[in-house]
Amino acid sequence: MLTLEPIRLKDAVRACALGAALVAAPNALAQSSDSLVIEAGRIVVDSQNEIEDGVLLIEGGRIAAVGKRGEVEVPWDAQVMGGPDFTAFPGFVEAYSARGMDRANERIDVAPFLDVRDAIDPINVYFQDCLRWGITTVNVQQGPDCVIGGRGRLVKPVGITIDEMTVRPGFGLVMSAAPKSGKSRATQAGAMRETFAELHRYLESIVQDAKDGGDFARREALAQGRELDGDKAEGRPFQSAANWSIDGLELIPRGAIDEQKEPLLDLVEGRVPAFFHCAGPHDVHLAIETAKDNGFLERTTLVLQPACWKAAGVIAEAGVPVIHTGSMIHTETDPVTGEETETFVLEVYRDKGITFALSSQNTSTASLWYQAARAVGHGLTRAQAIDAVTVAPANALGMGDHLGSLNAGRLANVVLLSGDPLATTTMVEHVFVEGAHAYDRSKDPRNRILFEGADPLDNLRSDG
Amino acid sequence: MISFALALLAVPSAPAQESAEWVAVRAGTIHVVEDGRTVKDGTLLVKDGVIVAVGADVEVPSAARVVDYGPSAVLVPGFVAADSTLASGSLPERTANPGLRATDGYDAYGNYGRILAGGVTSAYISPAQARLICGQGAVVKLAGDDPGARTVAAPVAIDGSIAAEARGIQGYWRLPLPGTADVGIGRPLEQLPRTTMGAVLAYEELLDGVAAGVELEPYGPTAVGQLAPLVEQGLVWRIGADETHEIRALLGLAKQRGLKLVIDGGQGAAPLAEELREAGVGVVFEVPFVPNRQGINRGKGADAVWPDLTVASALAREGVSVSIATPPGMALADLRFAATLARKGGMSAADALRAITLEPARMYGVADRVGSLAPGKDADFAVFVGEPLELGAVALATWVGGELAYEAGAGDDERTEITVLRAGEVHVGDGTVHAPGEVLVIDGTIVEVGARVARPAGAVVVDVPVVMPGIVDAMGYLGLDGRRGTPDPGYDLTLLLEPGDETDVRVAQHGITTVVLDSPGNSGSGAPLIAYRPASHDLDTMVVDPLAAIRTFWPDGNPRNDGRVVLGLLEKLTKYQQSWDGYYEKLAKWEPEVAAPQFKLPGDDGDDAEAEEEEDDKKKKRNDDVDPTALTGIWVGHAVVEPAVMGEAEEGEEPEVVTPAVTERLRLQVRLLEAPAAEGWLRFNGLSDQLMHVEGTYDAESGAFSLSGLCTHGRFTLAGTIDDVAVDPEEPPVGFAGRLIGGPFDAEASAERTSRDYPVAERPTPDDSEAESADDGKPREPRRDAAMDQWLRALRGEVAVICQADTAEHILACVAAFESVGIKPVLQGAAQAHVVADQLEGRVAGVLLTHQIEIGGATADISINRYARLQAAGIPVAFYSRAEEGAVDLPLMATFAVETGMSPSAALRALTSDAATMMAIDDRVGRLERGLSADIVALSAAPFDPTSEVLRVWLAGREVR
Repeated sequence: MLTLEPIRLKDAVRACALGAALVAAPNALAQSSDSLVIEAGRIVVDSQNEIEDGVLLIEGGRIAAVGKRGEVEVPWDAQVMGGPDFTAFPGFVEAYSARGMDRANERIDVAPFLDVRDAIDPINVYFQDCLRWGITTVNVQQGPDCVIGGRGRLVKPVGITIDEMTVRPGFGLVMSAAPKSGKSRATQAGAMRETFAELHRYLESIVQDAKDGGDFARREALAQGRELDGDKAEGRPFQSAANWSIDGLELIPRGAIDEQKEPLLDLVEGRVPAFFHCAGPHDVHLAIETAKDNGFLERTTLVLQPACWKAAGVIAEAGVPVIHTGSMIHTETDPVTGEETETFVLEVYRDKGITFALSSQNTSTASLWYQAARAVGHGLTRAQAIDAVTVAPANALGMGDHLGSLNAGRLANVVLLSGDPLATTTMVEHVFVEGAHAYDRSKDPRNRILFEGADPLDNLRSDG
Repeated sequence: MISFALALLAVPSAPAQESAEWVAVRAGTIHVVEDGRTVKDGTLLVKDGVIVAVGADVEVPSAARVVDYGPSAVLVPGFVAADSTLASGSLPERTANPGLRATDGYDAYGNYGRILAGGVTSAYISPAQARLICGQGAVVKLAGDDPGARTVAAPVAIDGSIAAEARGIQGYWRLPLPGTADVGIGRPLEQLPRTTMGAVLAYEELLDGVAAGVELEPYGPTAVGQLAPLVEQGLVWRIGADETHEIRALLGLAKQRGLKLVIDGGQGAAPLAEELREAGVGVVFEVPFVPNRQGINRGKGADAVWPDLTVASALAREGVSVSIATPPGMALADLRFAATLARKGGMSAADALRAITLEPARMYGVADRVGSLAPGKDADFAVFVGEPLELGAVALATWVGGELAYEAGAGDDERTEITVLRAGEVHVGDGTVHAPGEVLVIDGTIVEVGARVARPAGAVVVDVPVVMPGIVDAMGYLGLDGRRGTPDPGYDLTLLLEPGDETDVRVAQHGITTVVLDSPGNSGSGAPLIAYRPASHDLDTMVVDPLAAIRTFWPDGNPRNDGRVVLGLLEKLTKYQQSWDGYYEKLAKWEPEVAAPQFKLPGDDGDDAEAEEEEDDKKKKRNDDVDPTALTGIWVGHAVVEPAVMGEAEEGEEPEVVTPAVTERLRLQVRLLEAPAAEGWLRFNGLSDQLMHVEGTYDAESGAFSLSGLCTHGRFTLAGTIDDVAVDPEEPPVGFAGRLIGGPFDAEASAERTSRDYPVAERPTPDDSEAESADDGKPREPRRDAAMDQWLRALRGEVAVICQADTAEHILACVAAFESVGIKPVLQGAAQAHVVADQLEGRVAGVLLTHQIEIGGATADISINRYARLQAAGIPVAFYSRAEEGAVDLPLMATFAVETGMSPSAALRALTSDAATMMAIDDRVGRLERGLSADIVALSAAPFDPTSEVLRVWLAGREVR
């Protein structure tokens, strides 16, 4: 097992009183020093660039510089961590996950007014596991059992409050083209269309009311205890790529829009990304049709089950990125001949020019590095596989400027690996999230329980 | 190379638009359906998935791919399912859901292979079931690579129902959010309708709403808005209604509101036939039968409506447009069966075919695309063997849009191969003829033969004029390839076989499927013959019987030695048999040392013991039936021999006691043969110091038995009754009490059964390790002799014995010699057999006569057909070639035999079943009978007909090509 060089570690511990508690401690480090230097024998900046014997200079939670040792100017008082045995890798980005919450799904068909903020559990073991696997950003969203689900949240698996964890609040809206339990495909599609038709009707009606000199929306908002000040007091015209529009929406203060409708309006006006679930190729048609008709195709990411590869042509034409969930191999049995056909789904996406991100949200599939390694085994190039767990999910989340690579300016989400990122023997040794040392494998209490057989309670006590 | 270059040069001359894809499909019968047209020996010409022409003399462009399904194929338009639930899922929430689209529910990427296999190529899809308005129905295709192109038309109908299922639906309730004190959570909103009048009223309200452009609160906020464009388009209202009053109500509504109406269900439509025709209302009639489930009680009252198959025909007679559909629960693939059921109700085959093709297409307004094979329509068609509306037609292929979407038997090789041979005449081979007849072959074995056999799913039907069993060459050389020499007994004859020889295939194509492979020359200990299928494609199916026969000879070069070989062999055989019998006898007597049994003390595992007890109790309760084999087993006991008295006792004298009263141990090992016969061995030193063989009878009901045997004192009898004959006796061990009478003894005997097993000695295989094992007193088996082993098998009737003998004297001597050991030989040569035919009947297995079929009689006009003569005397004869590829002469030999006086059926027997029986391979080949190998020859006419020729040959179910 690789560890940080002892002296430096001690310094670090003294300097910043680094507690070993997995999640809580590292914040102290980030606050105590402005700059951190991470040395690594090899830095995988992104799928295209690698630096041998490099250093990462981290300031203010972001990467200030990256380069060969000696070529990067390092402040004299910077903390220095890492070492020549490590490979630095951008923190893995989980593009979509319905975990880390008490429950993944709400029972209501259309519930855009929900927010996963109220469901995320910071001490959920899932977030601990994320660090173990080097995942530094998680897009937590509602599960697929809905027509339109609640708002998601982009979080880092570090922090003991949701606010601490949050990277982007109110991030995205989940929708499902696959039938919710108890619905048929047709009724699901019906409910989907009806939701937007209803939004349209609602907006028409309040606008009409305002045009008629009424004040219904405002009064209702005030009755519900909402305060209309600042932005919210102002009306804006309807701006959307949808194939329908509302004249005179500027008459309505934005804060007066019904809370249950507001997230949908945000969606239609392109202010939030949409994550659209599809279980089969036929669902893809409904998803793209809905997104196109209501003007949010630009901001749509499809969350696909393996069978969806058949609709790759339609996806490519729509130009939307996809997040692949489930098995990479789709198996079909011909009902007549009994013949089994296996399709390596990612290859189809690649050949069609579709941007795809991998995800580990499905519990039956292992973490991102493993999936990336498997994808290489099945025929993706190394660069494509690495992109699929770093740059591609970052871009799919619209966070390409902040996540997914170790270029200067990105958030300092760095994973120090014991070897090649796609080798099965490689371990995540250290994780830095926004410049804070968030995980040290040598101090991972769970590993000690597993490997040393230490009594868990004792372990936790002595580690404080 | 040059020709290729020329071809390349020729291409540019063809016009550029020739990139179009042409397909010409040929079939014996093509039902166009449009105008009731049927084309015999027709061609369907398809260009880019669209029918261009159909007819008997269609000019086929040279670029066209030609697919010929043959003269027995029937080509019909792809069936259009007038009703399907392919797109329907769970119930929608409200009474009226005009916004639901069936196309949303249809998986256009789906593989509907199973439905296509039933010839169904298009289907009407309902968006939901059991609602007043279920939504917008559509017509889709069930195959096609482009998911968008699978939609033929959408929407085609306003789908709904007023049948009982659609009335009495749950209330609609949407939970308000947030539920607060101000906003109660409310209660379900009652939904219309509950009655037919309510349903009709609801339609009227909705239509009024559409006319007025006002949403109606009970139907939800958008129902009217969604319905309006559909009404405006003038779509068909396809409404479910079963009972007569429902249909009448709908007719009234349609008339009043000017709606185009299609009734779905229509069980009670017959009385309204006239009104329906006048109103131009079509009926989708769901046949009132669902296969694969138990019967349905429909009520015992006089007015209860029982399934009525005549509705469709009654409507069709009145001129109502009728489609036939599968009811819920019936697989869509069974649409053809549903139409066949309508025929049962009196519909003509042509009407029934229209009712699953053109009629539904017209009802839904898609007749310009599907429903018939008229030019301009999509090339959707199904190919059957046999008329599709007759029972037992088998699907061959289904095409959608000019592409093959299903093909029978296209699965991988692992699948069961099922073939039905349908023939004008099926010659079984033993004289029976089925005309017409069918043979069902599954995985190379004949499973059924009869006038009409089963048609398991996936069966491929082959039409041929005549079939007969493959011909057996009773003695041939095919495969020796000129090799001389006689194989030794015990030689593995399969080593001679080699699959894949072209000559073999040519011979097989003359109908000769099995050859009993002889070798030139003689062998003193009998030459072995193997029976095999020369043209078989692999070794496994090549061997029919690795040892079919042994050939020996009676006459010798030296007349004094005639018969010496056979007699010597038989003598040796008798001794060999005795040595084995003796071995078995000893083995039966021998008891292996038994290891001391291990007891488990009670209490070691109390629970187990209790459980076992309980188990035993259960067993007792379960099974006190009579055990039919209670006698079988080993009985150990004793017999008390009373003192015997010699002579009359003189007065005053003590009688002279010759033998003292003794108690002798008794051991009886017995088994039940075919009830009531029993046999076994008795050890009782009072009678003999040898093991004594006993035979007798046993009555399973009473448990009484009587066994007798021979001992040094003469015959003895052991009779007794078993005290408990239950399968699970109350208190084992079971015993018997009886008497042992024999010679000087009359003894009370009793014994207990110690074992239920009767050790039947299997012939042990030689095993060196066993020989080395410690001497445990086990009897040694006699030395094996490969030559004698084969003769032993002949004794058991497993192997035929061929013996050459010519003169009457030799023949009789030979037959007598074999008779003494119980073998019925096959005489070979047997020039004078017909002379002594009367003395041979029943004593020989058959005769392989010299090839001289006909011999001259006393005068020129009298000739004797020796084959016929012998056969008439009840002695089987067979043809044989004693040649390699010369085996192809066998059918001609038989034809000549027929020409000179043999009956055709007898000649066929001689070629097939008699030859097989003689060679003791009739359990595998020789007849078309259940359980035998499917070695089948298809002929163009009856066997021995001058015009008859071999068309096709199957070996173990695989066609020889």
